[in-house]
Amino acid sequence: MTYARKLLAVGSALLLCGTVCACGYEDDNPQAVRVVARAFLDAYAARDAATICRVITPPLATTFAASAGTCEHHIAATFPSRAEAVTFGRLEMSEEHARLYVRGEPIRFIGMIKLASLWRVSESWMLR
Amino acid sequence: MLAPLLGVLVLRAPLINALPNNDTWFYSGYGWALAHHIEIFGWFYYADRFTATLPIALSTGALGPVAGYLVLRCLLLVGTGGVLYICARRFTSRFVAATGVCLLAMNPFYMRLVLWDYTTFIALPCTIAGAAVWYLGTRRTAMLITAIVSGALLGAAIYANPLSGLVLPALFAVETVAACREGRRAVVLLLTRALAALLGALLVFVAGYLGYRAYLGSFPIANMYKATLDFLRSNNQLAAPFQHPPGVWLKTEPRIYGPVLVCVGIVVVLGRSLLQNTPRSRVALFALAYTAVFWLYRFTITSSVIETWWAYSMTAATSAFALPAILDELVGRSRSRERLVLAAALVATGGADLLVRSDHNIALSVFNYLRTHPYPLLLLLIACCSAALASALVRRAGIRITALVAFLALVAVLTLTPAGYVGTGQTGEFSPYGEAEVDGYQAAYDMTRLIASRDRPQSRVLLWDSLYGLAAISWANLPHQDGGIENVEAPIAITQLTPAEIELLLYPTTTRVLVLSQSTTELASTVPSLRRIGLRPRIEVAGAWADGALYYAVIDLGKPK
Repeated sequence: MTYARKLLAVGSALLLCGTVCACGYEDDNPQAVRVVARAFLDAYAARDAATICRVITPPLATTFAASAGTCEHHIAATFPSRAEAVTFGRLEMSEEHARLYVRGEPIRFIGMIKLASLWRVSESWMLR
Repeated sequence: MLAPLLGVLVLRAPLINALPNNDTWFYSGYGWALAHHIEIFGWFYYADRFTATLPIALSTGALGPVAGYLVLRCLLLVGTGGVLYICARRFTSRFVAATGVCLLAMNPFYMRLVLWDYTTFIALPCTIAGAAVWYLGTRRTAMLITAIVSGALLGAAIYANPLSGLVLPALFAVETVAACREGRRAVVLLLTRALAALLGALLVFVAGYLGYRAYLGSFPIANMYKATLDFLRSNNQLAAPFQHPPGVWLKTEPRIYGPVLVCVGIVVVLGRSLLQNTPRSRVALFALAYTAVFWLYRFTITSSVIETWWAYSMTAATSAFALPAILDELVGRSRSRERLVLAAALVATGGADLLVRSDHNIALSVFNYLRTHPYPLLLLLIACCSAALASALVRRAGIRITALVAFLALVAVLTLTPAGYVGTGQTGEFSPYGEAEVDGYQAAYDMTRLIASRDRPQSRVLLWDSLYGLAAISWANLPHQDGGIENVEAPIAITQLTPAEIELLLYPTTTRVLVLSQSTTELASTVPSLRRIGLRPRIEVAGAWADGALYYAVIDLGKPK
């Protein structure tokens, strides 16, 4: 057997292993995005500014704190007069970014960033 | 075969050296729970270092964490020693080659960098083996196959730790000069071999990708190098905080002079024969160039490769190739005393290692004195250079051998100096924790597997501990990446909860905590603390690891599902 054939054989074996194995692996990050987005919207419905400030990205929270003394004060001042029932639909995501769209609406979405190992809200029509 | 055992014995080296260091645990964690870590923490540059994580994953999968660790170290140490022996045999006798392998095993820089899970455990042996295999192909036979294998090994070293790339300028500078001196045909041959080496490195990359696919399923191949490229791009930002003024470490870090003195030894002992185009001179020049590249790199690019011991210890590769060349020259001058010279070399290094490592307090006092008194240090360096000079120039064999003993003993002593900067204050930077290291390593594996079995992105299990003592194992779950609730910069006892910790506990995806403590009272105090912030904690699992020295409990926070 020549070296080339040996290398080919080893390569094929590795390729087979790589393809066959790991069938049970499933990425649950999409569920995490949905959990955080739901908590974010539920907090608006419950007028829970602390939870909203907890799940948004730290730079956003700092910006809000700079404008109103604390992040919670800023968020409380922007609560809508009545809560809106929202159902999520399409999810676009990469390793570190996600956009969870409101069902049936191509423009409204909650944008999220994975910071360290937690998904945090970076963008939403609710944040003003 | 027995050289690593000899090294471990004379250095009194703990087989695992993980508890005093944080970074080593990242690679243990990725190796033990690759799919979990990538899903939760993503493609950090730690994950890109597949030539470190995959061997950990494979050896642990086959034999369990501790046995897998030990067998992997045996294979690496014996394999590297074997290849170095074959390389040295190209230009010297089997006794000199075997002595060279033993001296490498007795080098604390080398043993320390292999005996943990930080990337250097692959990077350093692969650098030495890669260069050794390269030099096996400088004869007409097997030129291409040795180049491919060498490229694969050097590639493995560079994938494990990009700093290992410093071997390339050293190796290829020496080889280019040698080829230019031989003529056009040699230059073409060198280019062909360099391309073959590149092919070897690519093959390792493909094998690594397929290995990761076996654990993760399909993923973009760019994930395997993107974070490393970002890491290299931000080199200045990352390296700058570790930089220390040369004026300080030149005076206070005697350990940095070990490889420099070996380089002095090469020049002094080999003299003009260094300029010949022989296998020995090429190997010796490579050894010289390798340490020189480190110093050049330190002063031309923002880096801390000399003052940080875990980076600078890579220069063990210099001693690996230099000492057989030096001994070959000295033995050649008095062939009748070959065994005496070699025995003297072994006794000098082994004796110095044993002496320093056995009487820790006296050694530390001497090292502290040297660190705070630059002139005695300077005198010691001059004495060492003089010994090298005497071993090369004096005609009387007795004096020459005595000078060699002094030279090697002084190099060994200096190499064992504890690092003053980001060090643990231990000779050779070996762990002071003894057998607790083995228990800690097993506990870290058990902890990682427990977390991996319950921790999901939408229902996280976060660690809660003080990061001190045995709880340092929690670095395997990346507490600095929200793998834990504690502030890694200023961890506090778990009897209290800081506002930042409460924020993480109340985060929507946090459903459980894994508490680690060496005290059951402290562990029990966590439940009332959680109740005080409005949670309804319920202990799911509790027990002890590390032979009963570390208690743990998985606590469900009782949040509505």
